[in-house]
Amino acid sequence: MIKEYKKGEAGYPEQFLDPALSDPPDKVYLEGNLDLLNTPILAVVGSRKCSPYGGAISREIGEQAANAGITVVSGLAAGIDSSAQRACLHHGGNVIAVLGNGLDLCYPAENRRLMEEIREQGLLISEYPPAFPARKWTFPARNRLITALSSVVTIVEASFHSGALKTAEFAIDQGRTLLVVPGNITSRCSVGTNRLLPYIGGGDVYPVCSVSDIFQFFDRRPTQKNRAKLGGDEKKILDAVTASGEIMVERISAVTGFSPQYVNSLVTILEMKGFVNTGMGRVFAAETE
Amino acid sequence: MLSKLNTAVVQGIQGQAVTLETDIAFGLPSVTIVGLADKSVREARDRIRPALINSGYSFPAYRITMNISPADVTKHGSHLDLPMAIGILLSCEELEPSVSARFAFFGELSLDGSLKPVTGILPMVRAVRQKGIRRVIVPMENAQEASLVDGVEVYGISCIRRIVDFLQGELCLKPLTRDLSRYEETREDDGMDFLDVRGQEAAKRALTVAVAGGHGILMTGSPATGKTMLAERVPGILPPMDLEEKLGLTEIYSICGMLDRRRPFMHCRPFRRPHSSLSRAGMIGGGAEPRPGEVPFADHGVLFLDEMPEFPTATLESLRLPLEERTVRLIRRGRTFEFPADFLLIAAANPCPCGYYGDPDHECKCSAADIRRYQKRLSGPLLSRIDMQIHLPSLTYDQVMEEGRLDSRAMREMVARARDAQTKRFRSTGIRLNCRMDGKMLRKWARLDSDSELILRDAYEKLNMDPRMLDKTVKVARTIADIDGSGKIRMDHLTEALAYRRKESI
Repeated sequence: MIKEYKKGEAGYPEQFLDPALSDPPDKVYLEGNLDLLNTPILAVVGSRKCSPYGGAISREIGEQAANAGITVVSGLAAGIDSSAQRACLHHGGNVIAVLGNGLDLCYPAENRRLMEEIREQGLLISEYPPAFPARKWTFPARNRLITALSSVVTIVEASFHSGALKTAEFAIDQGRTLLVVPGNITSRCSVGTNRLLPYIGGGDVYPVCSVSDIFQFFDRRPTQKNRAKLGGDEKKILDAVTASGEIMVERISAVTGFSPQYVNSLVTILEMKGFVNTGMGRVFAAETE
Repeated sequence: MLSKLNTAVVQGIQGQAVTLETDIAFGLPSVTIVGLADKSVREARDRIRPALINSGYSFPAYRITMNISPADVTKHGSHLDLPMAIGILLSCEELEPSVSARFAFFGELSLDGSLKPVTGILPMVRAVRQKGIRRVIVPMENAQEASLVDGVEVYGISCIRRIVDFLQGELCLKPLTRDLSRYEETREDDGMDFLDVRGQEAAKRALTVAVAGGHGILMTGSPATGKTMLAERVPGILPPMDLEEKLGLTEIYSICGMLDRRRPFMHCRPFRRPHSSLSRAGMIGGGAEPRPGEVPFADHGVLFLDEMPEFPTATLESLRLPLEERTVRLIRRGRTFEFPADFLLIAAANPCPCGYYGDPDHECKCSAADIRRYQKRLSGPLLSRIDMQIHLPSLTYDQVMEEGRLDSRAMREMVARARDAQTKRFRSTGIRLNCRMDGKMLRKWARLDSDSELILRDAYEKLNMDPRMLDKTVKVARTIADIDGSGKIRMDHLTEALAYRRKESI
């Protein structure tokens, strides 16, 4: 059931009454678990077109947030947004999605299944009435609500013109903690995020040097993954992955001397145990040592 | 007077023996052809007349009626020229009727009386052989192909004059009979070996598994990572076909005129790589007189769809039933035509329209929407029939220069081992390969022990799998165990199979 709340009514999200949000919506539409508004909330945003690295990092953030009991808020866009939300949801975490259209519509259509899952298990928020279609200007507008809802905003990847940079601006204006995931200086997907790095130290802006850094801002530590429990060969493979941060199965096989099928089989196990992420044929370390 | 002689026509991909009756009677000079003959057959009368006259015979100025029976099936093909010409000669008593009854005739006539090769000889000769005829007269160029039929004496003759001489006993010819040994020597040595593919050992391993269990496989990766090179080498690691399979395939190629004249025998497994502009009819077959398409051409071999997302949706959709039922069914004018479609599907796709999305060394120029549209085309119902997916990494210079490790011979052995195990297992069932197992068979032959069961449960939750992927993973794990010679599916088999699961795009 989509419920409408007017400003000032009981049930209207308190976060939107924060004076830092200069133009709070007069009405909001909510559907799902309203209790999530009273949990610690982390925003994870970034480009729609992300690199495999960005995808792997956002999935890792989503997973660790789920383990730490932190709610992830994002915009249900393709790429970073939905990767983080999907990972969090599938690891049993709480997810809020703020949409730039009415809650009965889905944009992009590919995320319909994810949206339905969030409708059932999480919370959907929009300032637009049902049947209101997404417009170019509704996306930056909903970004201000994403930052308003959260206490910490993480920006994973953004190209030079990414809308995620607008979100970063909102975060600073609203006095939120802004975390920036640095990227390769050669990667177009990280140009925008890397350009935020000079602001570090100037305010409430910090770099993400390890995914678990994020959770210090909530005074929580995600459950540590225990390397000691790994088998010898698993450790060798994990070492090969952490040594380069991003590596192909083919390369692991060359470095360790294991057959490709053995590497594939162990990488799957490591992925299930949460030590690595995979994407487009590459294996990423979930966490540096 | 009336004469009868034997010939055959092609229906779909099958030959059908027919009888040609020729009657010459008094009346206004004319030639009438009845028996649902199409245009290519009706035009024959205008070829026969000059052909006979130019060969030194006279064309009877009588009322000629020809009937091709059974009269309720359509006949097409220029190979009926020769039987019709012989029929006229018989009817005007240029030839002894008792001799010609033991023969079947095929061939297109040129206006000078010489014989030209025709398509579909193999299935037609097979059909007349089944009717009990042991001698066939065909154009010289078709003699080798016709001789693939067991128990037939083939006379390849170049012109109508010589046929008459031969039938009258004035010319002695040595018949051609089946001799398959001539095709033995050059088995499958097409000079392509998996050893040539460098730096893609993991992909080679995955392909071995795919081939061993008949699992459809999707390869993604940037351009120039070796997708095509890998696919081309797959027929070389499939076990050899048996004779019936080879003949069946040769028939299809014969009908479509795709046989090599000098070696008209399909002894190697086919590799078909249709272009992405292919239509639905081009893919499975079509036309008023149904002709097979790429799918029947790939029977017993490999169908490689390069740039799969570029294919029209209707073309990809048309593959669904063939993949499920291993046969193509076309209905024309109330008749059902069936083509075989037992092939291994190998699909390749770039990650995005420009091909470089996710590539560390090249910048991708596509927009997020472009990529989404492109990848969406990869998620149709066809994909649910593909069991495995791998991503080929782009290569560094060192990897390109590296010597390959796994070669075709070793891969062929692994495939043979796994296929032997499957043959034993599925002896009393209708299937031959692991990819065809249904739920009941999976429970019977692909049991997981409790540890593996736990892993699968864990994977289902943590790796974001859907229920259909579970069955596929177990099937692939069964194949990996077969390659290993293991009766039980071990944990490492299962985890390797999980690595080949279908992944979310990014």
